[in-house]
Amino acid sequence: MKKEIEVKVCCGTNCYIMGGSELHLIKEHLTEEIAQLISLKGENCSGNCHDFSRTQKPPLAWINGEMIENASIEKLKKEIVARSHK
Amino acid sequence: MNSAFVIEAENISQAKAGEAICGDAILFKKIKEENRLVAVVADGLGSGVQANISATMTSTMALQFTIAGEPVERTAEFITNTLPLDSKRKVSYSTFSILDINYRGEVKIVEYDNPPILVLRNGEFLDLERQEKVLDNLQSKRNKVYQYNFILEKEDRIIMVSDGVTQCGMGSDDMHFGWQLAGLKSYIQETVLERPHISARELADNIINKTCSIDNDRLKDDASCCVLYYRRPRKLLIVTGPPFHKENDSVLASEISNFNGKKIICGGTTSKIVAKNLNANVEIDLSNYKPGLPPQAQMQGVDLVTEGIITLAKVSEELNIIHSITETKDSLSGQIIRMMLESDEINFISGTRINNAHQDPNLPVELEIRRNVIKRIAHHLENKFLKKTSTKYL
Ligand code: FES
Repeated sequence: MKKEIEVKVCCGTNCYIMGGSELHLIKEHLTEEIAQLISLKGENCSGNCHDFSRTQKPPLAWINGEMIENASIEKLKKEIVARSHK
Repeated sequence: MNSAFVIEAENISQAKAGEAICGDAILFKKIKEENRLVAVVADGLGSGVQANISATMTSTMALQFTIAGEPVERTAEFITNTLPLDSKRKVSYSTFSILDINYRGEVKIVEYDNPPILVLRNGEFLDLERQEKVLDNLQSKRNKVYQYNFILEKEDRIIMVSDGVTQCGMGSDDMHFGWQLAGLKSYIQETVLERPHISARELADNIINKTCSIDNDRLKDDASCCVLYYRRPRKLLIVTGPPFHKENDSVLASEISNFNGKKIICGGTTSKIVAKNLNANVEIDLSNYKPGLPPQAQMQGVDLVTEGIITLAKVSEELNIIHSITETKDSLSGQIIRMMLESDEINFISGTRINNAHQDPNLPVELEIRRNVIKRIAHHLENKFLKKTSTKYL
């Protein structure tokens, strides 16, 4: 069996405004086979979006713990599909 | 009257099937200076526009005369002599019930040809002693009015209906004489037994819905219901934004846990802070996520947890547009508004901490927006929906 892929999306205000509002629907953009592997979670603002010493570009998401900046459905899809082959 | 208590007064009317306009009229007036409430239910003869005019005139006159302290004989006489004549039946006619509650909780009821007023106390209907009064000058055979007096007690419910409610279902196979007062009474008792804190609004809604369903959704007469509920005020707490001083995090948390009423937290960071201090968990709930607003979260002991400023701005925008709770949307903002409108008192606590302000020049703006949005929401609640509000900055 293939391994579960853990996807977290930020639900904080900044990430939401900066284009993150659709990220929660990522599963709908994946094939059923891959969507089954996903465990999707929402996160509150992690602080990364406005800590200027290491500001990351919102919206932020995490795949298996790895932070994705400037996340979009397309970007997440690519990352997830790549991991699903491993 | 116990000033810590409030009277929730709600009414609902539904026109007879096929009529665009209801021939019943219900009016309320709260006279703030006297701490007094007057309510009138009038049912115009027949249905449609003509009935509506009689009923509206009757209720308006009855209300004004009662507020001015006129004796009931004069009120009744004046009303019957003023109403326009029905062209077919050559009578002018509208039934009415007048209810007058003063600051001491003394209730005076006058009833003219309407179904009797019901008073539910501790699950039982009061057996009110009624006085009959014959109005000599009334140009109608129906010249009796009934009067009742009693003292309002906590948790009392007063229900007034038009005869479209008590007579619904008349002539149907299983209910020759209709629902009748007895049917209505047991329905109310069952409903309140099941939901002891049911609001006046919901009870009135339930009664009218039941009436419609008994008439198979084609009402044979106009049906109206007015419910008054004398109860402890319902309070709502809305917390948004982290406190300015970190030391106040625990103060905020205990404000929430000690609050006696419903609780909403608007703000992800705020909910995290509160959760930490209350040893609770916040979990974002994506199960019924609808784009439009950030998703809600779940937290034990808090009725609703949402994102902060986007959600509040939406609430403010929608409050500006709607006029009644029935217009609220099936969304998070709609849910917040419903909770607000179901409360008598809405308390805001607005935190004023700026996240890493020295590093992000944009955030003071957010703080200002938060303050303004809350001000606007409070303004609508006070002026449009007559709620009490308070705002505290922490
Ligand atoms: S809002 Fe997403 S990390 Fe801050």
